[in-house]
Amino acid sequence: MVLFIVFVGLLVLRPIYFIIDRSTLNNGFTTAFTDPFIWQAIGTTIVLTVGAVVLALVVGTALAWFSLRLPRGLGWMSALPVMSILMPSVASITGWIFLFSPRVGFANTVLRTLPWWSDQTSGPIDVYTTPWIILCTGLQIAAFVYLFMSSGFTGVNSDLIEAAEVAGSSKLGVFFRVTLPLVRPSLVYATATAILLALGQFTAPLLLGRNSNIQVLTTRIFTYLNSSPVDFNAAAALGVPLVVIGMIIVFGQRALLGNQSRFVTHGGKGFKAVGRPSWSGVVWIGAYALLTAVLPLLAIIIVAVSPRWSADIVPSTFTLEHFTSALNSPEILSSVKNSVLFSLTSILIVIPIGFLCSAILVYGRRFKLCQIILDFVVAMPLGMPALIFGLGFLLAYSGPPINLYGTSSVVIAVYVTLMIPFSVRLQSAAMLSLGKQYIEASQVAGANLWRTMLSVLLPLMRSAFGAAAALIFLLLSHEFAASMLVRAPTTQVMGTTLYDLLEFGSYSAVAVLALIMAAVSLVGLGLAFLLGGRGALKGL
Amino acid sequence: MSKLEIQGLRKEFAGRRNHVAVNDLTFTVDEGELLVLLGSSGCGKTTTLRMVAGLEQASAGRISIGNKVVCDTTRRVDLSPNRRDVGMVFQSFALWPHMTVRRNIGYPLRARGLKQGFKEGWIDEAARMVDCTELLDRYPGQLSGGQQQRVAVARALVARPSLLLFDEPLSNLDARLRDQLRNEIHQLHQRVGFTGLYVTHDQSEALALGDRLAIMRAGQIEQLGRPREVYENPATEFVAEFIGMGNSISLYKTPSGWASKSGQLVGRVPDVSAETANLRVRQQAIRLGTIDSLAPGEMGVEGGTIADVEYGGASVDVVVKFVDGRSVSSRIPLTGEGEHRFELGSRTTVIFSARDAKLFPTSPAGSAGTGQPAHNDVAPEQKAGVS
Ligand SMILES: Nc1ncnc2c1ncn2[C@@H]1O[C@H](COP(=O)(O)OP(=O)(O)OP(=O)(O)O)[C@@H](O)[C@H]1O
Ligand SMILES: [Mg+2]
Repeated sequence: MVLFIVFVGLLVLRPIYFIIDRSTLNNGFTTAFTDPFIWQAIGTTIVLTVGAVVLALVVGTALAWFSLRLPRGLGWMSALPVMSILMPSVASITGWIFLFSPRVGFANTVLRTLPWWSDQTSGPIDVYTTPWIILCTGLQIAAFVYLFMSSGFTGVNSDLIEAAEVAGSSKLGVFFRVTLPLVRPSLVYATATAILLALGQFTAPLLLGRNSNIQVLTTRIFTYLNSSPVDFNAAAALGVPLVVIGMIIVFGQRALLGNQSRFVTHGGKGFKAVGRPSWSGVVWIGAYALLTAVLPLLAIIIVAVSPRWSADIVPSTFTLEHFTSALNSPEILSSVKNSVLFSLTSILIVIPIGFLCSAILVYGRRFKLCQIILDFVVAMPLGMPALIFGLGFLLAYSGPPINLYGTSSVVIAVYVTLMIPFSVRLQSAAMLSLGKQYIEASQVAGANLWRTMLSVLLPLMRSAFGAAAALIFLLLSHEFAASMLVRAPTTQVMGTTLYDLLEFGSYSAVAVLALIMAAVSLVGLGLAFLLGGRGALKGL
Repeated sequence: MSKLEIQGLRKEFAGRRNHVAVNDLTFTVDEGELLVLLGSSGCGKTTTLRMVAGLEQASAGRISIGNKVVCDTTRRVDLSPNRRDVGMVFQSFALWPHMTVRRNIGYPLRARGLKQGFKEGWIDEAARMVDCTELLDRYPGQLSGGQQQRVAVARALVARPSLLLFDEPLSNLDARLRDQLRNEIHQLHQRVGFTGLYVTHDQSEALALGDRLAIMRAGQIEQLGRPREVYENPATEFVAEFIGMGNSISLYKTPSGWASKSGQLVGRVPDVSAETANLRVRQQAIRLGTIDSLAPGEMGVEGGTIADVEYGGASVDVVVKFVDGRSVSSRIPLTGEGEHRFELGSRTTVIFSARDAKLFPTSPAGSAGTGQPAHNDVAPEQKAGVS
């Protein structure tokens, strides 16, 4: 067991160590922090983080609240905000480009038919500006906030809310004075997650900011790695603040919430919709889904079937030629194959790792110290941007003693590391809800550890495996940031190929690949549910 | 089947304040004996049982099953549960939902590699013992609570372990079923004669099942003995109350003898070396009447008022309140002919045989009072001083 913990520890901590180590070499810090653009980049990072977090918290919490009071028959709408997570982030940003790009964006074309903007030839929206990057990032993160908050609201005993209403508080007063304090754990967790996601946000700034030279810390790291000569030290130096903030947040979260068991189990009593159903919820949730999923998807589809991307949509010219050429393009095909292969291999590795970690965290009361260390190590990859892990693996494994650069192993290793927290979280939640009685009954019946695991724990965990596999496949087939750093010409995945195509200006191919990405993750999800049974859905 | 010996067993839970759940327990369960641990909620029964099973680590002490020392903190011996050769029936049944009943019952045989058990049909035998042969091919989810509990008992029995542990196995069942299963467990024990440790907080269950019973309080054993012994001769006031002597009349000493603030005390109370004491009487031992009807060997407390009358089918419960605020409850059988009339608010005298009452000093006269009873019985005859 100690060996296993050392292994997981090495996997997670070695890359981080290399970032810190490397940053002190050869004036990494000096290069990085005397650069004339650095303060601007830091400023943008802060503005983007604060803006996106505030937006995400407000939107996510409001949507979660509304989702509980949907009118009868429209309950299915509560699944809509989560749908935007199913869209790969690269794909939905691509969709936004197609919609809001100043000259030929479809939405802009439509808006220009309105009297206020009829005299303009571009705009009124320019997706390549900071406010729109914030909007784009914030709305994407809002989906995660929504997930945490709606499970938080569901756990609130509605009697408490009704009691407050009966006691004469106004609706708004009840929300701020009773409901929000009750969901504090979810709120803290959602806020921490939102901050981490916003700080590490890479996709939107890279894809939207590159035209107008809007830079944040993560994109500058990327720039240093793609300049010639490559400046590893400066890139590492820029990574250090992100590492430090990540550690602070992971520690802080542990301190604020105690151990994760406390808030995994607080669900239970069903939430009764309080008060009358509200139609404004339908409007807001609908608008959110439209903006983050439906419209981008439509735009992508239109670009994919049009001969080329232009401001005008001409249905009569629609064609499937881009699909056929994509299916004959070796680089697209190999990227799809790589993505699937890497994701599946990583799942096969990270699920057992997560299983063992969860077993130690949930049942290993006799090994307190191991639990504390493991708990922290396991939370680490969630605390730091994926890009940081990409960088760390690049530094740690592309030179003696271990040179894996350009091999698929390094991609898989990064993927496995990134997914450890998700794997552990889903499985340990499942173990906690199983309780310890089944395990104890097996032990008392005379079974040793292995038999207990194989005959009792594994079969009972089947649906948790399915859920974990589904979520991980979803996240990995979308993976972009870390892949961008560790990729080599032979290990391109869907996200990185999409970026190259975008750089190259082949918008039709971009659209087709974005659709393929969405399709692949849907197929993966479906398979996981088939294997894991209906229970798998609950884990998400 | 073998003997269970526990010496100086102790368990502390690390927490804000180190909480002592089990404090220096020592007792033995003889071969073939069923010992019942009885106590109120939180007194450490489950913790004790789990330490015997090896599911909880003892902070100090020694446990041996048969000739095998399974736990000895001074020698750092602590066998894991699977090497202790015990069977356990959990409060929540804990049948594995993904296995059929047959596989559930057979699991201990597989886990312990008892091939002989399969050959000789131990599974069917165990199923027959608890009367669930027809259920063997079902899944636990398809069983009722009582059936699940029977299967759980069969699973604990099947591998013929040295020791059987029961943690409130009947508390998740409804009252009628509880009586029936209690009966079955009793018969099973008569037939098989397993060594067992049985935890419950139900008094009647404990009296019915136990060869001996141990009353626990705050992690310690308050009294250990045969059910009848404990019932008739509670060692401490706590045991007395727990075992059904719910009525308490507080007494204090005057130069002329014992007196009570509740009302005038009639009858003889023995001379105990204490300044104050509590007289404990069972509900059923009390009758109501007038002081004139006092028979020899009886004692009474005058001056009560009937505060409540509760009809209970074969009997009525009458609550008598005294001037000092204490009340005494008496259960009076309804014998059909002689109709009892208890009018609310009417004055009455509480009468009981001195043999049925126990006196427990509450404050010492010099020596530290441990709540030990003064004498076996309250001596009759002598009239107590009137206050
Ligand atoms: N894991 C634990 N951590 C801390 N304290 C505990 C733990 N388990 C039990 N305790 C404490 O130890 C004491 C004894 O608990 P135990 O479960 O043995 O009681 P019990 O006699 O079985 O009660 P009940 O009849 O309610 O089941 C209780 O005060 C309980 O709060
Ligand atoms: Mg208990």
